[in-house]
Amino acid sequence: MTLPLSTVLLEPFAEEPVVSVLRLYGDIGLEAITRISALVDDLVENKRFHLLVDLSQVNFLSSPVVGALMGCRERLMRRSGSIALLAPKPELAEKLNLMGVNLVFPYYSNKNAFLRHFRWEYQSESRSLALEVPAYAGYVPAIRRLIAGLLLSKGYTPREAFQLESIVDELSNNAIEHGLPIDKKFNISFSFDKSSVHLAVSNGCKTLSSEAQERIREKFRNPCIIPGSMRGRGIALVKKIASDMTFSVDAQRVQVSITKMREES
Amino acid sequence: MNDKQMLLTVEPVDAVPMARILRFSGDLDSTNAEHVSEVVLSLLGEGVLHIVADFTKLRYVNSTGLGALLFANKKMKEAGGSMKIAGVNENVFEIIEIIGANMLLEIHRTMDEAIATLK
Repeated sequence: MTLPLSTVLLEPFAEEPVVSVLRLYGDIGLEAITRISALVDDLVENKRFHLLVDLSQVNFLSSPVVGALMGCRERLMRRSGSIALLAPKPELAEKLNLMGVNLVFPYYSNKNAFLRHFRWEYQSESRSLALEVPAYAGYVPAIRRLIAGLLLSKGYTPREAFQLESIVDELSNNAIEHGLPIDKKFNISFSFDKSSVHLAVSNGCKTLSSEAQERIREKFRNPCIIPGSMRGRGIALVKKIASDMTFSVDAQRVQVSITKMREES
Repeated sequence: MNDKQMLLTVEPVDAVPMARILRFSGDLDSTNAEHVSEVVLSLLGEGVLHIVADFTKLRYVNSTGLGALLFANKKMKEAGGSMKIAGVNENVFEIIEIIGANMLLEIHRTMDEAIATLK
């Protein structure tokens, strides 16, 4: 297909139906503004509020067009929508950066990067991790730091990541020291999205008598900090940091699960 | 494995022969808490009565690490001495507060402030 020097097209985004793609080609100057504005009018009228502007075939983008895109951004964001730029060529990206456009519009180098971000931000997509860990305290620091790092990489604050690091640490050490892991390992199941974190730490154990099961349940139910005691603060700490803590104890398995809602999302 | 992640150094305090500065760096957790207790017992054995723990470079502490600090605090007090902590970052301080250890430990804002109480 041969396209004119300056072309503006609006297309559906095959991989994500709620997103429309504004595809620009060539040198985009003043004359494109009316067309772009009309297309965004149609989008808003049809309640389609997420727009990806594909710049991969653009050689030149005039300042007034950037201004028009800013206007589109305002209109879409007022309706809880979004606008992002896809794959500007390096020379164009440099020019846009000098204009400060990168401070207003997110850029993505390819569709997959955009989709990962979009689904996280707007469709509550979660990330998850399941680990089987040797029941040895020396493995815990790397795991707790890994989980904190994942949270930080997705925009959680250092305080939130630190608190989750504490929870992972305390529950893992509890499984190692008190869970009586029969097979010398324990399991961590971790998932998080934009608004909350879920974590479960479990281990199989040698058969627990009903009295032993009840002692463990009581420790989770009423963890207490004994003044002057050097130990036994871990579960109390977890219970205070987490939004919710549940547990299940049976003859051969102990599992503690927590949910931590974000306070600063 | 993680004991490499925390460095603990012992330094003298100017003009206070029976005091030492313990400088913590990194993470204090289940893998190295016992080492802290051993160092404190060893210092007590040498006649040290006052410890100033510098947390300026301590990134992380867990409940076992705090247990070791409470143990050290108790031992110093039983010997008629003291333990002071300074330079605590806000995440670590929050953990100390949640556990209630701030009621038991003598915490100062800066090292200068903590050392001044010894003189």
